[in-house]
Amino acid sequence: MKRTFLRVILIMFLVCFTTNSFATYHENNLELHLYDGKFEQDRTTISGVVKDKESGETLPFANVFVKDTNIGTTTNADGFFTLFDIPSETSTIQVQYLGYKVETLVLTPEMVKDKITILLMPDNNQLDEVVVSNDSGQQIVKMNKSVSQISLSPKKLASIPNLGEKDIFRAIQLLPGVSGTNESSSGLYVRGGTPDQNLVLLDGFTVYHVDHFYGFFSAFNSGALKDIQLFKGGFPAEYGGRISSVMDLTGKTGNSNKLSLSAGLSLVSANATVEIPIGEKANLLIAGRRSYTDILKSGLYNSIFDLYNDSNQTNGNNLPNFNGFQQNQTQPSFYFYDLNTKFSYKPSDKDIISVSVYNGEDNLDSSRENQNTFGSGTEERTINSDIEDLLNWGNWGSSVRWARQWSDKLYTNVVGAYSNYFSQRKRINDISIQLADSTNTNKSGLVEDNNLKDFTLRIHNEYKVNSKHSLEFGGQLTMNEVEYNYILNDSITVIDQKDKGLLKTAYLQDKWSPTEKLNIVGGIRATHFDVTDQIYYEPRLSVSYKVNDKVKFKGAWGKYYQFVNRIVREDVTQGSRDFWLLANKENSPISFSQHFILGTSYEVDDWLFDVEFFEKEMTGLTEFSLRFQSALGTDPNDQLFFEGTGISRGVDFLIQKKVGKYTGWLGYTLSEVVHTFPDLSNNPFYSLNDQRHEFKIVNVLKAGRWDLGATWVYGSGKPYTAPNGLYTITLLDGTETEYVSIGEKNGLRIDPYHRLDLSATYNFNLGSGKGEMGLSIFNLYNKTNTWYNEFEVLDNQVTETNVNYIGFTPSLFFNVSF
Amino acid sequence: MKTVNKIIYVLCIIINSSCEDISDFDPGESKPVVEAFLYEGESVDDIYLKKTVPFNNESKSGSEIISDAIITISGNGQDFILTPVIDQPGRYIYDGNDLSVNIGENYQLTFEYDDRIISSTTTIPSEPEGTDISPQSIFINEINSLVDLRDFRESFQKTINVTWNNNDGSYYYLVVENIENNPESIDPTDVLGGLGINFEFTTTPTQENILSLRPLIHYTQYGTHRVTIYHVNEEYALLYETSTQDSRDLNEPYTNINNGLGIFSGFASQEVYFEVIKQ
Repeated sequence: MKRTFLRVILIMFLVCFTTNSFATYHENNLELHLYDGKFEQDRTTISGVVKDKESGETLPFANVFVKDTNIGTTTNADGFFTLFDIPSETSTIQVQYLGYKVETLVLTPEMVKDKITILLMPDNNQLDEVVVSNDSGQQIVKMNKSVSQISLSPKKLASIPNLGEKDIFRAIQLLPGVSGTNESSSGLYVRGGTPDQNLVLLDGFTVYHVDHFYGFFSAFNSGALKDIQLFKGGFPAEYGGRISSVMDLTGKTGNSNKLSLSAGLSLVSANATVEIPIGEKANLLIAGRRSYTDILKSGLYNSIFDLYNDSNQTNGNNLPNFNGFQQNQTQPSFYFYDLNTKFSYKPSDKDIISVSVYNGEDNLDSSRENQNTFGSGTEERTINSDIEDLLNWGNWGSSVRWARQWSDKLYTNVVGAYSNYFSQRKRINDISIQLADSTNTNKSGLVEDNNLKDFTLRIHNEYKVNSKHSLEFGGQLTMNEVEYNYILNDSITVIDQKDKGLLKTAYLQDKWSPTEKLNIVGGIRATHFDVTDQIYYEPRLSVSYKVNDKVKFKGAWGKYYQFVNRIVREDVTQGSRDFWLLANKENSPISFSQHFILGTSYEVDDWLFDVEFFEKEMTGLTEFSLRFQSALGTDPNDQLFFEGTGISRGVDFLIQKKVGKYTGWLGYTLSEVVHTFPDLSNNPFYSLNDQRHEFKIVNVLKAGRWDLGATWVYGSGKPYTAPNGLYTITLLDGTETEYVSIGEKNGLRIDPYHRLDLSATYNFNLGSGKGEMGLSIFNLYNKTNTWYNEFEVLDNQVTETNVNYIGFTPSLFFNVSF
Repeated sequence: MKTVNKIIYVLCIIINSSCEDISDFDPGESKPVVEAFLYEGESVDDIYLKKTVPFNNESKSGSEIISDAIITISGNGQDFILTPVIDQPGRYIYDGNDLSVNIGENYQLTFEYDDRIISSTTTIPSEPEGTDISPQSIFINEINSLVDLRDFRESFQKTINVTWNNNDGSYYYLVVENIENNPESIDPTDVLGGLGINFEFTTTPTQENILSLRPLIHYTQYGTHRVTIYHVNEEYALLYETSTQDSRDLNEPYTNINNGLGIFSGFASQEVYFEVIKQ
């Protein structure tokens, strides 16, 4: 099998080089000398690097193009670029990057002989009380880069209303195709996919869990990031191991020119970043953030919480009582922290070495006490429940990276990475039932421990053959160690699983531009998984065709495999939870999806109209449930894991006002996600993240030194499962047993979700530094949005608790940087 | 732009028409619950239909009956319509003679409820083989006082072994019953209390091939006893196994009813007899 694998890799490389040689020869009729990497032609080729003018930070994925032509390229992860076929040595070059002013550069014959350093000025025009220019630098997001790809500027996040923190994931959740109604998850539900199906890379290491504070904030400090790329689907062969989407984050290297300090304070947390240049070749960046809601428990934040939300304990007597059904409300308390450290060293103009370390952790306490009384007189029963509910989770991640620009054409990036996700949960229910003449007590609970380690070595190469072809190829070794332990009532071990798996991957892709209007990205990724001893091939294809300067058609197709899966542990009574497991032959299959994307866009200077249709077929989905303990005499695991398939399809609409005083967008997604799990339900059912309609409006208005923002999100209700009745069965021994009947799987819908958020940010100078302060109001009209429902069944009485999202929550923030 | 509009329009039609057809779930509606058992060689008279009681219903009862269903049992290539029993609402029987329940035959139960077809199938398992009982008679002391009870220890040690072949791990359950018209109790003065006149013992489904019968546990009377050994299908064993519901995870009791709850299962049996004699 290993020999076959090596052969496949060899053939892939040979095929690639052969086809590219042919293509180049026929298309250009040029003389090509691959052996020395040189490419002789009449037109000019330039290369260089794009940097931030103030900090010296290199800028990845910036657009570099010849003005008024379709000749262009994109900088790589370290800001390097090579631009072929420039008409003359005096052409005008333009560089665009989100959050920066457009830079225009007129070439000279002298200039093109050497590497060009292009410096971009950050777009700080909010301090210049002048008319806002129509400059792409002021955009928060760039949505029409290529098929289903979106770029986001961390610098511009403060313009969007937030929940106390500038949050990149929350901003991305405002885009069409990404669910914006999951306050409880910073993870991205992209086009019917779940957060675990979204690959999150930070400086090359995989981050498995991106939630802080029960998911209300993401695990990333936006102050430590400089670039964000999101692929909603159809992503290229460079990325793999996930079946839905990719989010590639690049951390700041730090200011090379001067010591830089920044700090911020919100009603939730405090953060600080220090950027230290060390000599001329090295930088150190340290960024930390911690919430203080656990320390200042009676502070302003909690006051607002208590004022606008229901208290932790609500006596069910005030609520309707239908056949023993009562409702309580609850909210958790929490704290979190995260720390980013990055050391960068540039031994030469061609080399970059960096070490990046990340640590983030959450501690959550959802413990509560409830008291409910049923019946009256001699039949009165009071049920006291004391619930200890503790959760601790977090990530460790680190990477060592070496990148080298060997020549104008060849770039190599080598990453050694380690990532660890851990989650520990303890929930103990101590229940007592007081009757007229006696008291019954019952203690039950669970302990759940999930630990995932990822050791990865990755090499990525980019070889720019000519103006029409850019080859990317590389390989990856990943060792995963995943442990999951689930114990009920201190003694019953439901699952105790430890798995290891080695993934060996090679990929190859070609970015081919046969004409100036047509761009094709084709590639293949092959992965050998030692657990199954099989090779998994993932062909990918993405095509875009510019009909004219305004209209573009685009499409993508691809196959995707996932070997580490987040399993949903269905829990009707306490809300479904999840845990990570490595795919194996027994109970956790390898997930697979196939993407089909078709779309078109109409783009002018100020506006973008975009529509993309998508369909995602999925197999190897797994759900875990204790609800169907059935198969007698078989392996207990087989009773708990259920395998199914799914399909997600829909359409994303977008209208974006890109530049000007007023910017923003209007997004609408019509979609459905249907799962088929024959052993869980006789019929196909909507998945937990199915949402028929989602509508978002994002508005940002610049008024002098003020940035005003308003967002409104509406999402139709999501499905859930609930106990819905009682029934009896008489067994052959004459015993009549009463059961609680569970309704149709995901047969009910939570009420529609909607909220309006507002923000106002004032930008000012503070000596030699800059500052911003503002107010953000989350859920302005205090809509009670339900997160999930909990059910407690005691003595055939059902108590329902609606666990709600956050209500009206104003927050203040203050940031300074020097 | 006209071309773009046309393409969007066509794609909208495609996506609308490609939606899955999943019917809405009404939490207020009841689900049918089936209790239906077929016994090899016997008439079909143990079929009951109930329905769940939704939580938003004012009724406190854990079950309501369905007395107006048209139930069809299909087997031997024929359909047989069951008749509701008037004085036992919810019970259905087949009152003809042409429906025979045979070993190895598949039977399907079907009826319509709330515009949905409720169905289930079962197969009549083979008769238990190699059934035996030893000894076939046993002498047991009568208990008339606490002293007798103390001396009963010797009688309690006496066992009657019922055995059968079970090489494939099949499920069986056994019913022990006294077939005398006026059985005499081992405890006529009710020293132990609550043994009851019509005592009958039913085991849980078992994958064993032996059951050891002991006085006071499996029988409480003198006279002739019949032990019926039922070969049962896995579906019944699964239901029995999940008869305790876990309130934390609300495990769904096993059901083999499509679009409903409950059980439809077949049984085949053999009988052996033993005699309990007063010592």
